[in-house]
Amino acid sequence: MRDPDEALVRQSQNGDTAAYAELIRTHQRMIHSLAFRMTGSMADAEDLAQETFILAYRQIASYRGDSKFSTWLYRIAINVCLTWRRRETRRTEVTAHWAVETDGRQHQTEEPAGGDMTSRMHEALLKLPAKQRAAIMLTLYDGLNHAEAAEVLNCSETTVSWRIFAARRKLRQLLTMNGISP
Amino acid sequence: MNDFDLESKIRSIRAPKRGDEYWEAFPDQVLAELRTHSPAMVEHRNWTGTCFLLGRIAMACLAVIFCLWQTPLPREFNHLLRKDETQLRQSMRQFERNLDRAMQDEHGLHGLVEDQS
Repeated sequence: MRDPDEALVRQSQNGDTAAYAELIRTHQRMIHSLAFRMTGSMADAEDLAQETFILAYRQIASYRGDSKFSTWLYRIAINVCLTWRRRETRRTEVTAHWAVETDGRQHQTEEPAGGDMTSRMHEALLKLPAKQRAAIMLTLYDGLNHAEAAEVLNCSETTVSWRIFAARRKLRQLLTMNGISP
Repeated sequence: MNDFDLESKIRSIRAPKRGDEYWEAFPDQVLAELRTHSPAMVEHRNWTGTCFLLGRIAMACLAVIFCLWQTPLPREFNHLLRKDETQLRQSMRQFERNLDRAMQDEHGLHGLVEDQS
């Protein structure tokens, strides 16, 4: 199937920044949304979305069109989010030693749109291991099939299936603990 | 809770909305950031700086060589150099002679070593 972004990608590879701006316009909501669901913070999501598009532009010469541009962009976004997650975990660990005076809110999160249940659901999602969360996000929100998600996550389809299974199990436990599920 | 309920609950999470102004400005923001931190630009700047520095060093070296070439050495300095050269040649000749003697007088050397032990 022909990639609708093909022409713009080719122009961007030739240094046409207007074409790249058009590509950003096409995919910006999807990348913001993914970054928000991975981080739980819109402020962080904005930074990570920007980082994703900057990184993608710098690497665009290496894009050969083997997969759809959106899949390739997803892969970069997921890697940016996972790297952020590792960095954030290290930072939290370090600051936790000497930030005694904080009131427990080490990370300011923005409430997702929706009610209290949605907010608790999001909280539970954020407690999942990053790779399991990424698998859930890509398949449930973004409608990728397991093969596409495997390509984005750079793992096998079996691994994606296993991560989704493990994520569902963990989510059920968390929701039961939070009193959402009977 | 079955899979369907769980999935519909997960799907109900929506990212907070951003106004149209934000989405309009975002691509320009990315491009501005790209221009600010463009590696190609940085590389170009570094390369230009390195060339400029190397050029200046080369010019300075040429100037020093030219000055040395043009400046005649003082007579006393020349005399001292020649004297040192003569002494060095004499020492070398002496060393060669002594080495020859030591090699020819192999038995004597053995005797000397035995006497010392």
